[in-house]
Amino acid sequence: MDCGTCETDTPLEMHTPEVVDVNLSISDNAVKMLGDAFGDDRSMALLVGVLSGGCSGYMYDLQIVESSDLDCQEVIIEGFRVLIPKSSSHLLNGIEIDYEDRLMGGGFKIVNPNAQSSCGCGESFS
Amino acid sequence: MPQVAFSDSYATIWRGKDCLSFLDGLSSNQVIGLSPNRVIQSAILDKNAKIIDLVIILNLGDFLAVIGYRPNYDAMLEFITPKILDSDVSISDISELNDIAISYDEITNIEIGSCETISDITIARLCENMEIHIAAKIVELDCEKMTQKFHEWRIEHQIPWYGYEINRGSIPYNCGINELVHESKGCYTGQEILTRMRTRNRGIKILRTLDNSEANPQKVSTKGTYKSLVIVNQ
Repeated sequence: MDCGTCETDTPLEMHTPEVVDVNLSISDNAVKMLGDAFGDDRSMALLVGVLSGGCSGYMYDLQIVESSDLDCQEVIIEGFRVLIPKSSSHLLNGIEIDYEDRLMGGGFKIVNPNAQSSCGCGESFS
Repeated sequence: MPQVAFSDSYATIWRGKDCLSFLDGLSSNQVIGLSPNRVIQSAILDKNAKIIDLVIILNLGDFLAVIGYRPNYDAMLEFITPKILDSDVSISDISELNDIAISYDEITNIEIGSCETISDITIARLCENMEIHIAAKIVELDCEKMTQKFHEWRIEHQIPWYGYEINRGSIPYNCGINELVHESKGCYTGQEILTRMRTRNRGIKILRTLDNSEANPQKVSTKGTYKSLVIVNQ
């Protein structure tokens, strides 16, 4: 096999989405839960990212981090630092971060106006 | 050993540490954990579990070789590239540099699911009686054009093929690649629909070989001289 490394190893031009300034909101329930999670330490941040995969093509990725290697926008909402990778900004603009307090299927939820559909568990969207 | 050119294929090289997990999240079979010198087939699916392309993935150590069906190439790229986001995945098209052939019936003794390079030809054994051979154009693979003889062999062995059983927009459970749907790998695009079909046992079909006289012409996917491949309810 000729892997092209010696000759024309030109990667295909990848889709580069437009970076948008993300507006997001956090529900009262989510603010309470984040307050419990962060305590008084505001040096940590909530990273809201998107990964490929899941039932519908994209999956939300929520992490509590100090910083990120990804190129991120940082917004302060309700006193919390929220990091959004620029590569995913077009998918996350306008989202609301909510928290559902239920025994089954509870936890943080993303309400995303950009999503055409989402899977049953709410972690994946397209 | 009978060998036919897979001339309507494409070949790409995927580099980056996230390639396997990226493909795993967008396709039906368990790609993650594919070891070097192993090969697997997996269907890249949209959220409705419809096939965008069925790809053959070879882990060649430093990179993956991903082979698919040329008519599906643009749709495949259009589907996957927006999802790369921050993943470490880089894709190069090497179709112009290589020839690809299908070897069937009498094959090498390479283990099923393995690939290795012999005399400058990368050989991947896909199943009991079929291999894919990839070689730089300068090597000149000794193969015929796609022949009716190959399709007669496919009918006899119930092997689905691109453009016949496997078409863009088909669901894996409706085109004879049921075994390429991993039942417990977790979430991937289209998984909810396939799981529902399986658990409710609805809409799952299988390939069968029937004499032409017995086959309903509307269900025939590949017609041979005496026998045909048909897609029927399980």
